[in-house]
Amino acid sequence: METLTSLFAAFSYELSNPLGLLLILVGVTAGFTFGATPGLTATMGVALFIPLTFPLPPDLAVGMMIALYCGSMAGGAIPAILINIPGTPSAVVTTIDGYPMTQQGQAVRAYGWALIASVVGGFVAWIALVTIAPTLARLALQLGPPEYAATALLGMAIIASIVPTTLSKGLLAALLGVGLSAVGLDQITGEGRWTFNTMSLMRGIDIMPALIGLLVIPELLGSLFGNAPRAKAPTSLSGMLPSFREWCGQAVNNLRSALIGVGIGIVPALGGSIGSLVAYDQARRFDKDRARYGKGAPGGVVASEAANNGVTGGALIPLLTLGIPGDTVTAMLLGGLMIHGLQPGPRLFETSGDIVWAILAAAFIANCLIIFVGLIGFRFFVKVLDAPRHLLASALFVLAVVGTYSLANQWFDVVVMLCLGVAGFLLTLAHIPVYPMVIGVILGPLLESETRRALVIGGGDWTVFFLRPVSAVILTTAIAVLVLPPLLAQVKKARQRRETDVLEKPEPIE
Amino acid sequence: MSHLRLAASALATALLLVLCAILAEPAFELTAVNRRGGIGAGGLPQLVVIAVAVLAPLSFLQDVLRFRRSGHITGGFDAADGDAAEARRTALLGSTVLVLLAAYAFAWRLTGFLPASIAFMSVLCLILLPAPARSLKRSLLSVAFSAAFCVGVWALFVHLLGVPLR
Repeated sequence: METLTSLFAAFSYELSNPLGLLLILVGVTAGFTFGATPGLTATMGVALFIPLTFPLPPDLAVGMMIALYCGSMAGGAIPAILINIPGTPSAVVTTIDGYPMTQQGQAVRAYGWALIASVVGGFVAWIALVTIAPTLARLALQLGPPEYAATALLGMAIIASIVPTTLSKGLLAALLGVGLSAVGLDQITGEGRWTFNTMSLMRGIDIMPALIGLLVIPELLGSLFGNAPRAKAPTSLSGMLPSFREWCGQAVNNLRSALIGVGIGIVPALGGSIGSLVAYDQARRFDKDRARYGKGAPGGVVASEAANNGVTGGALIPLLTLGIPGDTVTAMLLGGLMIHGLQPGPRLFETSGDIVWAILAAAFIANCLIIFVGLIGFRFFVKVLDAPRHLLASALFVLAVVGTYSLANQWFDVVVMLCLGVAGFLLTLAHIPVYPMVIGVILGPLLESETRRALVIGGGDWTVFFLRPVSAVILTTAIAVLVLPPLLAQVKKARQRRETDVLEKPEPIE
Repeated sequence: MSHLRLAASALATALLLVLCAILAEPAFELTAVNRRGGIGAGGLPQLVVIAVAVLAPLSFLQDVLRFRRSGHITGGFDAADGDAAEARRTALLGSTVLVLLAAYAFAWRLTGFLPASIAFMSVLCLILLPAPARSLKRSLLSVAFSAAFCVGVWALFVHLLGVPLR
């Protein structure tokens, strides 16, 4: 009942505010543009739009950023369907069936399915967000320093172990991020750490320059190395949306995929690509016509798009309730929330409840607008694919530098961003993932301060982490997340080796 | 690309070890464990220095072993493996853009936002302009676009957002 009352108040506020509605529309349109342009990502979009939200109140600013996030997820399907290049990493799976549909002359129909699936996925994710987030936040309020420290460690452990590289590289990246977060004055004793007696370093390293340097610069550089082919805009848009009867045939697939997306979005670092892949696999498994998958089955497009839009709501749940970003875009959103004076975490619903509910209402409206923006703007978004890459990339580099400077009008931030941009480029080349580093920067202060607080409570006794049941369970999970995957991989490898040996052994001659 | 990735891995490891050597002294000057058994200001920095010094060479070693075993390493900025031209392009273009960005940041302080930004964007546009499309007309158009875009950004930030872009 409390949730419904808060939501009603938030919707009344949002719908009576023309500026808010306009900003959500701008966010969705910008998101579609970023999503539809290969090489530009939602992370980049949110990072570059943060400076533009400075004069806005927090609810409108964050609402616009979330609208951009939702729009970019839906927009990523356009190049995936038309030119077989995913506009966002999470639209990779959309290419599997979307592009074959285009080859069969059904590009508009494939896009219609993607649009409907995106909107349904977005709504399912939104329902999960408004029902799970407040409950989780209330539960999180019962936790103490040992549980928070254990949760921060679990977040980092999941990310370090999930990244598509070795565990040592994932851990190395996370520790580098924690190291970056340690620069500055110690939170408790006030001693300088790696400050070299300079005022700029005493301030510490802000999250946003670190995020832009580590995420946006390598992504922009990566966009320069590819050669995307040009798309041909469809001449007619008739028959774009499936009929209600046709949709009913895909309803179960659409809802199941959206729920898979939400579930995967909640787990930090898994992200839209894995969500889409799992949902696609399930859709193919349950479909009677599974032989069509990979050759232009609408069910494949529906599964992928519903899941990657489901991830958006799922990823917002740990962000708003625990302050743990679920993916790179929510890491950027975290920076945006903090710039506007909001501290994500269990107390967010208590301290800034009205703003949070307004943000959630904005997310719903953004999902409604996706269908209109997607339908009306399709011809325009197709043209975005023709934008000269040399002009676009250069302009975005200028915006990244200007955006970093404008965060606090500090030159030091630009220097930090550039240094971390160089580091991000080198580390990406060396296949050391930068995302755990970003999470290390974000969760490092929480991990350190809560561990120290827990030890003060426990009188310096480290068993305090294992004597409290919730903390013990979270810590055990963190250790299992780190230790089990390499162990299981070794066991699997040993079993495969044994099987190969048995097959290769010559049979005795009787 | 695999050779480039291995070289990047070696360079990253060397840089991280140099960084550890520089940061170890200030980290170990601080107290790691206080009198009550809690963590002091030096606890986290010391842990980071030790762990990075162990994990960085270990990661490089794993890359070397994988390269010796399979002859290639997968990684970021994916391109066709074994394509030497692609690797050269990635390394050259990436480092050129990063050097240009650093020069831009320093030029901004010396000349102010507009001249530095227009110069940076024009040079970057000309570098990124695909070879078959290079002509005097296209180059002039790129410079004109750069100038117009930078003036637009300047106007937006200074007059609308109130951010002093000097």
